[in-house]
Amino acid sequence: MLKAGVILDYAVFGAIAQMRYTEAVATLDADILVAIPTGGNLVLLRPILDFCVAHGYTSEGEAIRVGDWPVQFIPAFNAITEVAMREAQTGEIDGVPLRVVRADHLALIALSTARPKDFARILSLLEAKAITVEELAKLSARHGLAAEWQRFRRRFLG
Amino acid sequence: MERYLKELLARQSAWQRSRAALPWAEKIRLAKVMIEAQRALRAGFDDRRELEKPSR
Repeated sequence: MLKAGVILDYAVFGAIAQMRYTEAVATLDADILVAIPTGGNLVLLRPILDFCVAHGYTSEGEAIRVGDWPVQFIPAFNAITEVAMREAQTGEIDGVPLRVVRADHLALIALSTARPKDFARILSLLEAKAITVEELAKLSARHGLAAEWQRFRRRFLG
Repeated sequence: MERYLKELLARQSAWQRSRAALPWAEKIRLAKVMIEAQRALRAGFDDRRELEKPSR
Protein backbone atom coordinates (compact mmCIF):
# COMPACT_ATOMS: atom_id res chain seq x y z
CA MET A 1 0.00 0.00 0.00
CA LEU A 2 2.92 2.31 0.71
CA LYS A 3 4.51 1.51 -2.64
CA ALA A 4 1.20 1.98 -4.44
CA GLY A 5 0.73 5.36 -2.75
CA VAL A 6 -2.57 4.32 -1.17
CA ILE A 7 -1.14 5.34 2.21
CA LEU A 8 1.76 7.63 3.04
CA ASP A 9 2.68 6.08 6.36
CA TYR A 10 1.36 3.57 8.88
CA ALA A 11 2.01 2.15 12.32
CA VAL A 12 0.43 -0.64 14.32
CA PHE A 13 -1.11 0.61 17.56
CA GLY A 14 -3.70 -0.52 20.12
CA ALA A 15 -3.52 -3.90 21.83
CA ILE A 16 -1.33 -5.54 19.18
CA ALA A 17 1.30 -2.83 19.65
CA GLN A 18 0.92 -3.01 23.43
CA MET A 19 1.81 -6.72 23.35
CA ARG A 20 5.25 -5.83 22.12
CA TYR A 21 5.93 -4.65 25.66
CA THR A 22 3.49 -6.45 27.96
CA GLU A 23 1.93 -9.84 28.46
CA ALA A 24 -0.52 -11.01 25.82
CA VAL A 25 -3.92 -9.34 26.11
CA ALA A 26 -7.24 -10.32 24.59
CA THR A 27 -8.21 -8.21 21.61
CA LEU A 28 -10.72 -8.64 18.84
CA ASP A 29 -8.91 -6.75 16.11
CA ALA A 30 -5.68 -5.16 14.99
CA ASP A 31 -5.56 -1.37 14.70
CA ILE A 32 -3.35 0.39 12.18
CA LEU A 33 -2.83 4.14 12.15
CA VAL A 34 -2.53 5.40 8.61
CA ALA A 35 -1.69 8.64 6.84
CA ILE A 36 -3.84 9.05 3.75
CA PRO A 37 -2.68 11.24 0.83
CA THR A 38 -5.68 13.57 0.87
CA GLY A 39 -6.44 13.81 4.57
CA GLY A 40 -7.99 11.93 7.45
CA ASN A 41 -11.62 11.73 6.36
CA LEU A 42 -13.17 8.30 7.08
CA VAL A 43 -14.69 8.17 3.58
CA LEU A 44 -11.16 8.36 2.26
CA LEU A 45 -10.47 4.92 3.72
CA ARG A 46 -12.23 3.59 0.65
CA PRO A 47 -9.01 3.36 -1.44
CA ILE A 48 -7.43 1.24 1.31
CA LEU A 49 -10.39 -1.13 1.42
CA ASP A 50 -10.51 -1.30 -2.39
CA PHE A 51 -6.77 -1.99 -2.54
CA CYS A 52 -7.05 -4.82 0.00
CA VAL A 53 -10.05 -6.40 -1.72
CA ALA A 54 -8.24 -6.17 -5.07
CA HIS A 55 -5.37 -8.08 -3.47
CA GLY A 56 -7.59 -10.92 -2.29
CA TYR A 57 -8.49 -9.82 1.24
CA THR A 58 -12.08 -9.76 2.38
CA SER A 59 -13.72 -6.78 4.02
CA GLU A 60 -15.78 -7.08 7.20
CA GLY A 61 -17.60 -3.79 7.51
CA GLU A 62 -14.91 -1.20 8.10
CA ALA A 63 -12.26 -3.86 8.68
CA ILE A 64 -10.22 -6.11 6.44
CA ARG A 65 -9.58 -9.69 7.44
CA VAL A 66 -5.91 -10.54 7.39
CA GLY A 67 -5.37 -14.13 8.48
CA ASP A 68 -7.16 -14.54 11.79
CA TRP A 69 -7.54 -10.84 12.49
CA PRO A 70 -9.93 -8.15 11.41
CA VAL A 71 -7.68 -5.17 10.74
CA GLN A 72 -9.02 -1.65 11.29
CA PHE A 73 -7.33 1.21 9.46
CA ILE A 74 -7.65 4.44 11.40
CA PRO A 75 -6.46 7.75 9.98
CA ALA A 76 -4.16 9.59 12.38
CA PHE A 77 -6.77 11.71 14.11
CA ASN A 78 -4.82 14.31 16.07
CA ALA A 79 -1.34 15.68 16.72
CA ILE A 80 -0.51 12.87 19.14
CA THR A 81 -1.35 10.09 16.72
CA GLU A 82 0.52 11.91 13.95
CA VAL A 83 3.66 12.08 16.11
CA ALA A 84 3.17 8.46 17.20
CA MET A 85 3.04 7.32 13.59
CA ARG A 86 5.93 9.50 12.47
CA GLU A 87 8.17 8.33 15.30
CA ALA A 88 7.10 4.67 15.21
CA GLN A 89 9.74 1.98 15.51
CA THR A 90 10.27 -1.03 13.29
CA GLY A 91 9.27 -4.29 14.91
CA GLU A 92 9.16 -7.77 13.45
CA ILE A 93 6.55 -10.51 13.41
CA ASP A 94 7.76 -13.86 12.08
CA GLY A 95 10.50 -12.15 10.10
CA VAL A 96 8.20 -9.52 8.62
CA PRO A 97 9.21 -5.98 9.59
CA LEU A 98 6.44 -3.55 10.39
CA ARG A 99 6.14 -0.15 11.96
CA VAL A 100 4.77 -0.05 15.47
CA VAL A 101 3.91 2.81 17.83
CA ARG A 102 6.37 3.27 20.73
CA ALA A 103 5.33 2.45 24.29
CA ASP A 104 5.35 6.08 25.44
CA HIS A 105 3.12 7.14 22.55
CA LEU A 106 0.79 4.18 23.16
CA ALA A 107 0.38 5.35 26.75
CA LEU A 108 -0.15 8.93 25.63
CA ILE A 109 -2.84 7.95 23.12
CA ALA A 110 -4.48 5.85 25.85
CA LEU A 111 -4.39 8.82 28.22
CA SER A 112 -6.11 10.98 25.61
CA THR A 113 -8.83 8.45 24.78
CA ALA A 114 -9.37 7.62 28.47
CA ARG A 115 -11.63 4.58 28.35
CA PRO A 116 -11.28 1.93 31.08
CA LYS A 117 -9.33 -0.35 28.70
CA ASP A 118 -7.00 2.58 27.93
CA PHE A 119 -6.26 3.05 31.62
CA ALA A 120 -5.55 -0.67 31.88
CA ARG A 121 -3.12 -0.28 28.97
CA ILE A 122 -1.22 2.51 30.68
CA LEU A 123 -0.98 0.47 33.88
CA SER A 124 0.26 -2.56 31.93
CA LEU A 125 2.94 -0.51 30.19
CA LEU A 126 4.05 0.92 33.53
CA GLU A 127 4.04 -2.52 35.12
CA ALA A 128 6.14 -3.90 32.27
CA LYS A 129 8.55 -0.96 32.75
CA ALA A 130 8.11 -0.08 29.08
CA ILE A 131 7.63 3.50 30.29
CA THR A 132 8.14 5.29 33.58
CA VAL A 133 5.82 7.56 35.51
CA GLU A 134 8.29 10.42 35.03
CA GLU A 135 8.48 9.94 31.25
CA LEU A 136 4.73 9.86 30.93
CA ALA A 137 4.33 12.95 33.13
CA LYS A 138 6.75 14.90 30.91
CA LEU A 139 5.24 13.65 27.68
CA SER A 140 1.68 14.40 28.75
CA ALA A 141 2.66 17.93 29.76
CA ARG A 142 4.33 18.45 26.38
CA HIS A 143 1.15 17.35 24.59
CA GLY A 144 -1.34 19.32 26.67
CA LEU A 145 -2.53 16.34 28.71
CA ALA A 146 -1.16 17.38 32.10
CA ALA A 147 -4.63 17.54 33.71
CA GLU A 148 -5.55 14.10 32.35
CA TRP A 149 -2.27 12.72 33.65
CA GLN A 150 -2.87 14.19 37.12
CA ARG A 151 -6.34 12.67 37.21
CA PHE A 152 -4.96 9.30 36.14
CA ARG A 153 -2.15 9.44 38.69
CA ARG A 154 -4.47 10.35 41.56
CA ARG A 155 -6.94 7.65 40.61
CA PHE A 156 -4.62 4.74 39.86
CA LEU A 157 -1.19 5.43 41.28
CA GLY A 158 -2.14 6.88 44.66
CA MET B 1 1.35 -18.30 55.80
CA GLU B 2 2.44 -14.75 55.03
CA ARG B 3 5.81 -16.01 53.85
CA TYR B 4 4.13 -18.60 51.66
CA LEU B 5 1.87 -15.95 50.09
CA LYS B 6 4.80 -13.62 49.46
CA GLU B 7 6.71 -16.40 47.75
CA LEU B 8 3.65 -17.33 45.72
CA LEU B 9 3.17 -13.74 44.59
CA ALA B 10 6.88 -13.43 43.77
CA ARG B 11 6.69 -16.59 41.64
CA GLN B 12 3.56 -15.31 39.94
CA SER B 13 5.22 -11.97 39.25
CA ALA B 14 8.29 -13.71 37.79
CA TRP B 15 6.04 -15.86 35.62
CA GLN B 16 4.16 -12.79 34.38
CA ARG B 17 7.45 -11.07 33.55
CA SER B 18 8.55 -14.15 31.63
CA ARG B 19 5.28 -14.04 29.65
CA ALA B 20 5.88 -10.38 28.84
CA ALA B 21 9.35 -11.29 27.57
CA LEU B 22 8.02 -13.76 24.99
CA PRO B 23 8.51 -12.80 21.34
CA TRP B 24 5.90 -10.36 20.04
CA ALA B 25 4.61 -12.87 17.47
CA GLU B 26 4.12 -15.49 20.19
CA LYS B 27 2.09 -13.07 22.31
CA ILE B 28 -0.11 -12.26 19.33
CA ARG B 29 -0.72 -15.98 18.89
CA LEU B 30 -1.58 -16.22 22.59
CA ALA B 31 -4.08 -13.37 22.19
CA LYS B 32 -5.80 -15.37 19.48
CA VAL B 33 -5.96 -18.42 21.76
CA MET B 34 -7.47 -16.19 24.48
CA ILE B 35 -10.21 -15.01 22.14
CA GLU B 36 -11.02 -18.58 21.17
CA ALA B 37 -11.11 -19.60 24.85
CA GLN B 38 -13.39 -16.66 25.68
CA ARG B 39 -15.76 -17.64 22.88
CA ALA B 40 -15.79 -21.27 24.00
CA LEU B 41 -16.48 -20.24 27.60
CA ARG B 42 -19.29 -17.92 26.55
CA ALA B 43 -20.79 -20.59 24.32
CA GLY B 44 -20.58 -23.12 27.18
CA PHE B 45 -22.17 -20.66 29.57
CA ASP B 46 -25.02 -19.94 27.16
CA ASP B 47 -25.58 -23.69 26.58
CA ARG B 48 -25.70 -24.27 30.32
CA ARG B 49 -28.21 -21.47 30.89
CA GLU B 50 -30.31 -23.01 28.15
CA LEU B 51 -30.19 -26.38 29.92
CA GLU B 52 -31.03 -24.83 33.27
CA LYS B 53 -34.19 -23.13 32.02
CA PRO B 54 -37.20 -24.62 33.80
CA SER B 55 -39.08 -26.99 31.54
CA ARG B 56 -42.74 -26.31 30.95
